[in-house]
Amino acid sequence: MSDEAIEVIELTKRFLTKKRKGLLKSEKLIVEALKGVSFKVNYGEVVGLLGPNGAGKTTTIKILSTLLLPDSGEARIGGFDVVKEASKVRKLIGVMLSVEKGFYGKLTGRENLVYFGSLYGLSGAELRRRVDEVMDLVGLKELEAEDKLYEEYSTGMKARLSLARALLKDPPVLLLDEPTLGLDPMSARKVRDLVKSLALRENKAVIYTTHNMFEAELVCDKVLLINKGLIVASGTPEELKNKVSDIKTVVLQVRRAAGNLNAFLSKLADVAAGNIVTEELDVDYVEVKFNVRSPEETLDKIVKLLTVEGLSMNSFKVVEPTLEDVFIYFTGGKTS
Amino acid sequence: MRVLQLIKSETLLVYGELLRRKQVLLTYIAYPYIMTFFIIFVGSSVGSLENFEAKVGVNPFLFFIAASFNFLVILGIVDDVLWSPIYDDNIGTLPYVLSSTTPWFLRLLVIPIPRLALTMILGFTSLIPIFTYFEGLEGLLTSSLIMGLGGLAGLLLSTFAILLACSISMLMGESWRLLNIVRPLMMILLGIYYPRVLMPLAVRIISYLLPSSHVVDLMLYTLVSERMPEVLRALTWLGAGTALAVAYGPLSYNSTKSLETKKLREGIKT
Repeated sequence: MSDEAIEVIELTKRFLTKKRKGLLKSEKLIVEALKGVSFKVNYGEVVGLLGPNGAGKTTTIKILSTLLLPDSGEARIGGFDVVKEASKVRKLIGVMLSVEKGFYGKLTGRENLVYFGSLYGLSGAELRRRVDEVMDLVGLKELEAEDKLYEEYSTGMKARLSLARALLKDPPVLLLDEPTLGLDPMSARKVRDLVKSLALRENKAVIYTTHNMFEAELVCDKVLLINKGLIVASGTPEELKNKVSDIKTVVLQVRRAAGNLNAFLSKLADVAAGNIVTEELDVDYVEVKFNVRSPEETLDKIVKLLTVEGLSMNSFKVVEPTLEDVFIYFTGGKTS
Repeated sequence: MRVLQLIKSETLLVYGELLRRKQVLLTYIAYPYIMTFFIIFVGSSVGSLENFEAKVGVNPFLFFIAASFNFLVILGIVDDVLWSPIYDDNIGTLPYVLSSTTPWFLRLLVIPIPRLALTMILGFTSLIPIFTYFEGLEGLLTSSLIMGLGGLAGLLLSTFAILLACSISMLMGESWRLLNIVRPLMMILLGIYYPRVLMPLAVRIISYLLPSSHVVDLMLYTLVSERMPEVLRALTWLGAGTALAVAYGPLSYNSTKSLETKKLREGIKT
């Protein structure tokens, strides 16, 4: 087995889609999902693939799971090519592609795992032992959900079962696509803790896609920021934050009153470094968040701009950039 | 060992999906009776039961219960193989099936076996009671033979059904609506309700290409002649059916591979 768990080199993928134009006509569109993605993941490492919707996270995971053929480039898992040696790769990976589906509703959680375990080549006592172990590991035994029909499962239970399936054959590589999407905080925490401990104690290599910055910061040893099919930045969460250390984030609460907010925002674009994110707090107040290189110097300009546009400021805060700010800085402000 | 484990797990799935939906199981048990009574009801409104027996040479109840049982067997195979990729796609299990270490072709071969076994068991609730009622002990033997031949007809259809399922998916995309076209076509082409000798030549040629149609022919012969078929005749029909089923093997394997590549190129829906 290779030292590197996952190696991706210049991966590209284009999709042909159709844009409907009326009842009968449609226009063919080419969507470039991946434009040359490269990265490496070592054993014992959790690598977060972070990006907005449509950035290319799931496409990357699908290619690595041998469920999608790339147009060009190479991807290797445990030294095996995901296209030419797909059957060998399949023995090394555990995949979790969706939290809410992917099981048979009329089977119990245990029966579903037995079914998929058989497809993964397990049988007899070994299969029964592994099913028991993984159900215990993900906490389904604790919830007494092993012999409940899947259709009666809550979203949290479904996610745990999905993770249990990924772990069934005890694979050295885990590919998890948004494993906490739609989960309650307790279930999400359970999944995160489990993933972290699997990498730490069992030396598994994990790719973890998410668009939750908080989660990425908690779980991932390394983060790859992906946007429009390209890795735009990579490093540990701390390293990424250091990349924008000369930048501070200004959080401004603006009172609308009778002023012209849009005009203010368009003029603010000349002052801010990067993108401006706004959030409606209530009818009267709007929070405006943007990065600046020198907050002290810009404060004066901001006050002038507000006065000109008939707006007033309720609060002004300067904070250290979070991973979210790094994300916004590199991806052009498109948070999900 | 692996195939055995796969059959066991597919049995688990059939058990869950079929036996835990009691109304589906009841429909399954009632189906041969419903079809038989429907055909006899429509038939007797335009002709008579005696006329049918005089022309075909067999009691219409026996003929149609046997035909309906066999249709249920065939339907099980066709539905399982054609339906499973669509079903897996819809409920999101397809990515896990394809990314497993079990070849898709092997799984498609194994899928219909548990349902086939269940359908065979249903012969005890349809074929055996009716045949025994009308013909006593001899009827019990005939119905047992028909059950066995029905099972064989189902098994021999597997490779052709996989080829059909993959070809349809490649050419027309997947849709459960296609099943509504394939089912009646199978009913006609296999000669279950409509003996092959009465078919137009072009349809008869297509029918000859279906492995199970030869077993259906043997079954109809047994039913109509009311005696065990001669060894040579039986071997010829069974041999033709088996040879065709084996011949479709490589074709259906390649069609599965082609469909898999097509799906991987487009990307599996998650």
